[in-house]
Amino acid sequence: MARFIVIRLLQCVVAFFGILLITFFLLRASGDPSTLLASPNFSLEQVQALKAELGLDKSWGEQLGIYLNSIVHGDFGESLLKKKAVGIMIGDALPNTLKLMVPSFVLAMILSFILGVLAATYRDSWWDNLVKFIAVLGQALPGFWVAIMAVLIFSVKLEWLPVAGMDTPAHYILPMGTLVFFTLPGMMRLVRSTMLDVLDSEYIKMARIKGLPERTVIWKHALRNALISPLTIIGMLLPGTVLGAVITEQIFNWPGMGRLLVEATFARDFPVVQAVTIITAILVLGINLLVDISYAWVDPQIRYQRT
Amino acid sequence: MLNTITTTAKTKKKKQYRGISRATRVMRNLALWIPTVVMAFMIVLAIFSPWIAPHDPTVGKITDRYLPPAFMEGGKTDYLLGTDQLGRDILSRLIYGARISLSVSLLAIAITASIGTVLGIIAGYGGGRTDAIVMRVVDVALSFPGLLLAMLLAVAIGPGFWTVVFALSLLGWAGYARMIRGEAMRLSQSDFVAQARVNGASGWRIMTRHIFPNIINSLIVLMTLQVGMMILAEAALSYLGIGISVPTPSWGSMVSDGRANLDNAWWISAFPGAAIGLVVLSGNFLGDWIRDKLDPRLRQL
Amino acid sequence: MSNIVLQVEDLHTSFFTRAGEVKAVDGVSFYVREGETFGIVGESGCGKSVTGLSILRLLPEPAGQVVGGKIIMEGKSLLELNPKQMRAYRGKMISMILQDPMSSLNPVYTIGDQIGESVRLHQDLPENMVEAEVIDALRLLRIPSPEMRAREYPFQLSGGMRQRAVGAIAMSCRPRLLIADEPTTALDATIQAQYIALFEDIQEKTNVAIIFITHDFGVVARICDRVGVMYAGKIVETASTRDIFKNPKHPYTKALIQSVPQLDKKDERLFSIEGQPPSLLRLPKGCRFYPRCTVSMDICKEQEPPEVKIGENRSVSCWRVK
Repeated sequence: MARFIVIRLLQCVVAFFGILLITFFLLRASGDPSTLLASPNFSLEQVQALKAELGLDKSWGEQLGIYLNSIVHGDFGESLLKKKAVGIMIGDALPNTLKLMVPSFVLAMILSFILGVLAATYRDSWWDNLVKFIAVLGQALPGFWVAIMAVLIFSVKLEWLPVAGMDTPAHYILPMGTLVFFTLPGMMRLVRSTMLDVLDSEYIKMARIKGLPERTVIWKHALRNALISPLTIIGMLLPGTVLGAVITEQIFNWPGMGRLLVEATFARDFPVVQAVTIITAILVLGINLLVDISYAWVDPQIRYQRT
Repeated sequence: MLNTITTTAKTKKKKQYRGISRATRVMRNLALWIPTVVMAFMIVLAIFSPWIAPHDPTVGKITDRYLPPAFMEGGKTDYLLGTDQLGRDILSRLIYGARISLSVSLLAIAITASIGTVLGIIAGYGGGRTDAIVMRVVDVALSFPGLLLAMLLAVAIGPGFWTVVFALSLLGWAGYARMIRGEAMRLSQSDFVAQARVNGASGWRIMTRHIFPNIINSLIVLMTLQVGMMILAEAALSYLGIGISVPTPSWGSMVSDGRANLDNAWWISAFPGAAIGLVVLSGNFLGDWIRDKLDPRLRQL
Repeated sequence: MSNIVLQVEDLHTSFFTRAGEVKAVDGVSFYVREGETFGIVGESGCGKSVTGLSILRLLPEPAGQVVGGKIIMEGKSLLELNPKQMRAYRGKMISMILQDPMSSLNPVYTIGDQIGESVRLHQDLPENMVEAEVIDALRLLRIPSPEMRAREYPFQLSGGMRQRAVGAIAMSCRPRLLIADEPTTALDATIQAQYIALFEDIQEKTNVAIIFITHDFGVVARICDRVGVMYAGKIVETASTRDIFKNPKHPYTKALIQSVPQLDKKDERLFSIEGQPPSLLRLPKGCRFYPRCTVSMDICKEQEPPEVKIGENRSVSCWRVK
């Protein structure tokens, strides 16, 4: 188990440096960043000064060293647009994003497990058909559109909920709903199909042969096994969740990382985009590591693995 | 579930089951034909958009701004689905948008499928260290939000058609590689590959002549299942503004145009989103159908 | 003679599918006594496993339904129990061992947990006694170092050990009846022999009645006291194992016995039965073995043969037997 975690941790570190390198080279490979950063009316001297300031007159190796060193020290440079330290901007935005994402993700997971398990248990019932219908529709409709239609109905027409902002609990309802919509259908469908496989297995028959009540058979014997494969894909769900968060913040004018990213992208504010990418990468890799550990906790075969 | 047995239950059950069977058969036929028609229609629109579209999608009439759809009060029959904030015909923009949606997603699928298949076969057949390295990269790529790379790309090379194609390709190849690698691994342990090796076939020959032809079915299934995903991803990138640049119509950016006008012109957002939903739904149904025909083992996808 | 533990009378079980009613069990009657092993033999798909599941009332509902007959266990009619009462019978009074030892154990719980679960459910014992019961059950199945095994997960055990662990779960509450559904099919020949010896040992210690479901007459010869030969949802011949080997009456029984390889008759060719069993969806009008029978007569095609009793313990359904 300890070995398993160490290996995963090492993989995370390697992956993290891979991402650092990609961001570094993507910027430089696309041409001289100073032409990207400088405004068109800069004089040649100003461009040279900018180059020196960014360290672009040094060799690539040296540049990489400087870049890595500053990131390790948490220094992401200064926003070109706002002339503010990027670290501070992220410090403001990140909590807002987490306040929205964490409860949404947890809610989506809980809902998809409950709904998926119930759908599989009462297979082919009206309930199961409803779940399947939601899953099919949810995987086809674009999330941003559903969110906008929700704004149209609940905020503009019915005037029940606020359009944008994050002042009151009511402000959380539509953005959270949107985020849940991004992850729920796929997860629910996966839980349902894994649960169906598990319910078909011999050990579930065996549990019934023991005389266990159906409740115990489903929520103890079946669910624990049905948890394993959905858990492994939580890591793969994260990219979709990040996309969902960016779009949600954009739609509801939520002052988080996503909005920061989109604004910075339009302004071609490279230090900000780069910093958001790196912070997100750390978060995503960290969550993946947690998922791996919880996965090992559910599946004894991994917990006891020696390799 | 358990229940007590009565003889009356028997006859009731029988009738019920027969009823379901007829209904499901009709449903199954519809589930195949409706999506086929929708997709065919979409392809025709995409190819012949200049001849089908009633108006120029990029130029609007300032006097005809915010016109509601024809079926609503105040709508003109000239603009069946209404006009947007610049007086452009929404229907025409939808028709041209089909072009962008289809071409971007098909290109991206072609690229991701090629890269993923090549790497997957090499990893699966090569095994050992090659496999380990490729799969680690795949793991990272699968868990890394491709959106961020797309954003980086948009900053580095600017938004546009090829940026989107490139970004979507970065998103998609890892899924193929993982799937194909599994298949290739299974096949390289099969008897006919062993036989080929005994006969002195080279690794290249085995990969291209023995493994690849046996992977094609799975590949086709994966590719069709991806059409919907790619269209959705393209729409999301366009919605965020890093896709096809204005004024070229793209369904995603059309939804975004309507965001600011929800209180007075809901149709600007509503129709393109519905179009995306309809096409993706059809694509997914067709993909499911093809999977059931070609490779039912892939049901988990 | 010892008591009858379970009596099945004219059991009918059907599956209602899209294609129609599949009569998986179509009028099966037999009984099994305390300390006795009754074998149900037949080809796959003849309804032997469904018979077992019908007794436990664990058919895959709603498609599978018992549609007629009686199942009496020590005076109680099982089909009339409500679900809760039926659950109290499962595991405690009747237990079952399924075919595949690899997948009959839940991979995420230890062997001890899975045995203890039954014990806790059916016996009102203090927690420290539960563990003793678990170890006891493992000992009954002759699992070496039971204290250690109880703490292990299924994937840590070998195939033979897993099958024994499944047996330990089934026997943990010392049921009166054990249904074993092809428990030896997935095992190697040597382990199979050990396992069968184990059954005899368990039966001797606990006096449990066993219904042994198998397709292999060789296994029947080793373990069963009496045997019912099942064909297309019906028991076509019932007899003591001795009688059935010495003098099989039904042509299907004869064919089955001839298809068992015998070491002492070296040069005889193995017999195989031509054709396929009939579709349970559309059974023929007459004898269901008629299309494959080598000694059929005109009447066999038209009318189903009645069950003919021969002596105390034997019955055959064949027009040739009078």
